[in-house]
Formats: sequence, C-alpha cells, structure tokens
Amino acid sequence: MTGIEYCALYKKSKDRAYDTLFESYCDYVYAIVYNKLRSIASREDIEECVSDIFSDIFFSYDTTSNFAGDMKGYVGTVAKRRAINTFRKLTANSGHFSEDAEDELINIGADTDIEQDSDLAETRSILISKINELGEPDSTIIIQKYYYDRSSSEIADMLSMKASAVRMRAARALNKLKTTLAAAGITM
Amino acid sequence: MKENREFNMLENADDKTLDLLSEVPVLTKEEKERMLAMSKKKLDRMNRESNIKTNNDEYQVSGVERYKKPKWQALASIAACLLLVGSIGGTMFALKQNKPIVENDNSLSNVTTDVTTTIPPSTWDIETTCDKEAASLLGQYRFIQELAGGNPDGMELDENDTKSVENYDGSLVTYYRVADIFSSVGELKRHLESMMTGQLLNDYTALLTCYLGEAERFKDIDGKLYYKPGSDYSTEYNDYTDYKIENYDAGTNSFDIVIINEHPMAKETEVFHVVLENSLWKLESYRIESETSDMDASTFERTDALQLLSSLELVDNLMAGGIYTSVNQDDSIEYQSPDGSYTVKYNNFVSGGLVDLNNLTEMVKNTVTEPALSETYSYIYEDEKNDLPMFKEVDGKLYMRDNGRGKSFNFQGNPEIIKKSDKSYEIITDNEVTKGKVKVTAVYEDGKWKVSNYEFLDDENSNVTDSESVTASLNDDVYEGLYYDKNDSNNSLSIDRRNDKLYSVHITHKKTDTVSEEWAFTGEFNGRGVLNYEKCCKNTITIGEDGSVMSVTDYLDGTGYLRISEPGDETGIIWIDDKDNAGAGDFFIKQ
Repeated sequence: MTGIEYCALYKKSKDRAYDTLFESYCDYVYAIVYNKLRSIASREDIEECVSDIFSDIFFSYDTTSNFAGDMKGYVGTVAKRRAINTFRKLTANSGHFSEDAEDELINIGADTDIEQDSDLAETRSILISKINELGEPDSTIIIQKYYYDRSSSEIADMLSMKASAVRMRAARALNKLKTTLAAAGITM
Repeated sequence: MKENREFNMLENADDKTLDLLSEVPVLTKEEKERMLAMSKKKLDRMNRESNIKTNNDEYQVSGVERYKKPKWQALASIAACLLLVGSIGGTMFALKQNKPIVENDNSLSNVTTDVTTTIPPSTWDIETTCDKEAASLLGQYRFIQELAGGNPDGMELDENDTKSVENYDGSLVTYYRVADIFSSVGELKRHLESMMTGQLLNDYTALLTCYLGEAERFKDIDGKLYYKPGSDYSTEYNDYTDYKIENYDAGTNSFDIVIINEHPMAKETEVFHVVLENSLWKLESYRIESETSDMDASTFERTDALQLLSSLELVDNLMAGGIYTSVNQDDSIEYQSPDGSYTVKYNNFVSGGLVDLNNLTEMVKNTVTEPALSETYSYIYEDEKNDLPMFKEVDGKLYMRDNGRGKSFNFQGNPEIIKKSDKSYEIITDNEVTKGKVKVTAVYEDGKWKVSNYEFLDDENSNVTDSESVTASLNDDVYEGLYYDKNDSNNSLSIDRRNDKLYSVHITHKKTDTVSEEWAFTGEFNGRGVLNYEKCCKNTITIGEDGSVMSVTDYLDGTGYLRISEPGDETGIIWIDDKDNAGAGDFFIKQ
C-alpha cells in the first residue's frame, strides 16, 4: 500500500483507511513484534504491542503527504522501535535488565561479535531454506508450531486440516528437517 | 520455553527473514479483529488526550477577556438535555432522578472563563481545516458524551481516593478522584467552553456538573475533583469515524458535520453545527434525523426500545409536573376554573428544549399513539372541559401548571424485548419509582415506534396489578387481528383499528398461485357486533412470470357487512358482500 493510496482512502473514509492499512501490514508487524518478544512476552503482550503500533501509525502518519512509495518501510520502522521499547519495558519489569543499561539495550538487535553474527546469519539462512524445502503445508506447519508456538488444533483450524493430521505432519516434517540440517552440519 | 531451541536462532532476524516469516499465515480472523479494535480504541484516546492538551495549552496563551454567564442558562435546557440524551439512544440511563432540581453552588452563575484572542486563520481550506477541526471536535464530543453517561474510559480515576456523598434519598454515592486531565470543575467547564457553545454547552455543563435530581457527575471536594461513574452506561454509540463536511459558510464561519449511520433497514443522520467563536471552532448544536421505511417495522432494536423508554419517561414526567423541568415563578398567570370554584396558577416554563405548544404537542404525539394519548397524555396540551391543560402558550411563551411534582417512571436496567408481531413489541423493564417492573407496548405508527400502552407488573411473572395499573390495555381490541377462513385456507381477513371506533378491513381470496382478489373497506362495529360498509374497493392482483405485480381495480363502490357469529362453541366473523356475494361460505376465525 502506498502513502498516496492510504491518504486517498483516508480522505474518503478514515475507518476504511485504517482497516486496509491494518489488513495490509498486520502479518508483517506481528512477525516483527513476535520476533523481538517471543522469548519474554505472552501472546497478550504481543497483541498489545501490535495494537500500539497501529494506533501510533494511525495517529501520526501525515495524511497530507504525497509519498508514492510502499508504506512498509515506515510501518516496519515504527514496529521495530515500539517492539524494542516493549522489550525494554518487559525486561525492566522482570528485572532482567536495568533501565540504565542503555548501551546494552540499544544493541539488543545486533550482536557485537561480528564473527558470531555472521555465523548466526548463515545458520539462519540455511534453516529457512531447509524449512522451505519441506514444501507446503509442512513448512507452514513447522514455522507455526515450533516458531510461533501455535497448538496443533490452532494450526488445523487455520489450514482446514484435522489436528491429528497436523500433529503427524509436524512430527514427520521435524524429523525430515533434522536430517537435512544434520547433513548441512547443523544439529537440532 | 520452546521445545526446539534451534528456532530461537530466528529471533532478532534480519529484514529478509522477517519478510519470509511474515508470509506464514499465523493470525486468525479473531486475533486480527481484536488487535484492530484495540488499535482504534487507543487511537480514540490519543486523539482525545491530544485535543485536551491542545485546548488547555491554548487557554494559557494570550490576552484574556472575562465574562459571566447568567445563572438561568444552567437550568434552561434540561428538557433539551433529555431529548438529546434520549435521541442518541442508549444513554437514557445517564440521568436518574427522583426529586425536583435543586440549584447548587456549582451552577454557572460563578463561572468565569478565560478566552483566547488569537488571530483566526486568515486562509481557509475546507478539505483540511474543516476536516481536521471536525475530527478533533467529534473525538472530544464522544469523550464528553461518555463521561456524561457515566463511562470514565480515557480518564484515570484514583480508586484509593474516594468520597461518599449523600444522595437525595439518603443513600451514599461514591466519588473517585480524577487523577488526570481535569483538576477542578472550573477546568472541566473551561474545556467544555473551548469545544461547545450555545445550547450544547448548556446541556453538557448541566449534565456533567449540575445536580439533576441526583448527585452530579463531577464535584469539587476539598479542593480536588471527583467523578461519579455510572453503573449501567451504554457503550453502544454510533461510529463517528466517517463524516462529511457540509454547508460551509465563509461569511458566518460555520459548517456542519454530517454523520450518516446506515443500519440494515434504516438511515440515521446526525448533524453537528460548528461555529467559530473567539478564534476556536465549537460545536453549537446537534440534531438527529431518522429515515425509516415500513420495512423497518420488523426491526425493532434495543436502541429503539431505549429511546422509546426515554421519551416515555420524559412525556410522563411532563404530565406528572415535571421533575426535570424548570419554571420561573416570578412570571406567572392565574386562571379560574369555568365554575369559578378554584384558581390555577401557571408558571413560565424555561426548559430550553420545548419552546412552544406545537413543539410540545409534536413531541408527545411522536411518543404515544392516539388511543393512549387521549386516555392519558393529551391533557399535557389540551383540556376540552376546563381549558386548563398542563401547558398553555401565552404571548409566545410556554406556561406550565403549578402542580405537585412527581413521576411514575425511572427506568433502570437492561430491558427485555418481546416481539408480538412485525409492528408490535413489548418491553419489560425495571421501574425504580414503583420498585417493580413495567411492561411497555410499542407499535409502529406513521413511520415511528410509539408507546400504545403500559402496565405496571407486580412481579416477574408479569401479572398486572389492579391497584397500580395506570392505563387500561387500550390495544386489547376484540376485533383487531388476523383471521383465517375455516372453510377455505386460501382466504384471509385482517382488521386494523384506525381510531376509537373506525376499523379498516382487508380480505384476500387467493384464486391461484399467481392471481388473488382483494377487498378493502372501512367501517365501525355497532353494539351488535356488525360492521356495515360501503365504498369497498376490489382489486385483482396478478403476479407475472418475471415477478412483476399487476393490480386491476374492479370496482370502488362495494357494499355489505361483517358480523360476529357464534355458531356452537366457535366465535368468528361472517362476511356478506352485496356486490357479487364473494363472502358466501367464508367463516373467519381469529388467529
């Protein structure tokens, strides 16, 4: 969705503009927030953060702008900033981090060890490619189950399958993934 | 936490990985709807806070002009408040009162307001300025509307700092300290004055800060501001996100905000008039218009019920002497009864919403149907026998009888709605005045839902109490209803009561699947249960293959009669048609 499209829609109907923007980017924003908070936040906290991001965007996006590009960049920036703030808040509350540890917090998204960072990026890339090699619907099932931590019945509802079939496919796909990753030198 | 820790390596992922992850469908429709709704709610709050902050900032700016408002304005619009509140539907329970208005120290008499004198915008652009102002004003209005209804959302209350205040009946009302936004009633009033003017300002100032038969919403106690939340506030407000700007007038610096609410079978238009005053755009007035069709008769919704109950409460209140209303006893007229045996005093009626007798009559007639009206409420505006009705209009001013002030209704709780037919519903709701239930019958008439009857019920089994029944069951008509032909299922008869005596009759004979004959006439049943008629209209209706309907009038001068007949144990109606003996063999039994 481009900025101009959003502004045009906003002039006709604010509500439609909000709905369309949300529908266009909710998966993207959720992915960003979940990626940042999955280890420390509940699903409710994550939903709260996503809704904060969209209210921020609805409130602050300049509806008179003539930006012809995709709003994804803007949305992504707002989402990442808000997700980091939420991470900071949650970890501060749980005592994992001190509010004063600014330097540490600023670098949350990036490891300072360049070599390790490079290794991690490479491993991550292999993992993604091996998941993709599983093909559909197994790759989706694997991501939903083991990354997004969804239950088999939730996945079944979304993919119009039976929960037992999801469980079976997930187990088989995970074994297959382990095998292919092992062949690539990665152990799960 | 995670079963497979290798997936943790996907955390803090780069943009490319995030893109891939976002392509995996994970959110359900319910989750999306929940998050979107939360976002919009937060946006509303952000808008409100932003507006309030902006307005408060503006107050601190520049040259100040002080003025005082006359005291009477605070009371001049209580009826209008009620009409306004009632018309919005769902906020009828915002005000609950049981005794006359008592003026208190928080009236507008002592209000002084600082008004900015910044220079108004020299150039205008309807597309941006009006739109921006409208969004801001609507956001603020909704916030104020909800506060008036008892909903404190968007305002922080300190639950550890409460005050108990004695209400009119000795019961204690709990107030909570307002922890943000406003710090005093004066500040609240200044905020209202920054966004409203005229009637709307009077209405909401009274609703929020005046004693209206019950403790006010906001109160200064020991130098702090306290709020009384409602327990049954409505959250069923129309959406103000979509609106249009209309009637922009550069000469008077004004425009209208028009919000159209399309319901499945009805259209409702809300209009706010906005004016520029002391360089601030303010809401001056509000009105709501409904366009309903006959089809709406089948859609009687909760908001219709709440609105109707609110209107009935107001009409009954006027009839009972007017608790909500305000009169000026220094402007009175006395009338003698026709036989000279007693004198009746009339006081000038100063509740702003009802300005003349026509206005008043229209409001009453729009609420109550004719039979109930003549039985109970027409006395509000006419008294044929003594010419001493509840209200009189003299020299363009409205006067109200100096009566004892009481009331029959103070509806509470969530009403139960029971469908009786497409055009008739029963509403059963709690009545605080009688500490029992009331059954209100709503019927669809002249494009509106009106009250045709009400009964006080003695318990939840809905039995009518003899002693407390105020109105007889006016619609319990022996003739009115739908009838079927015992001898031929293709024939039917319907009788509708038009007024006290007159009935309209409609008879249908279905000849084939596509052809039917219809007779329509009006008449009065005499004491022997016979309705003679003339000028009967007969039509033959043919439905075409394409669904089109063709009606041919066969004649307009039919004569005959209907008669109640009781052969054996059965009671029914027989029809004698003089013109072509169409009723031979018909025997109609009431459904």
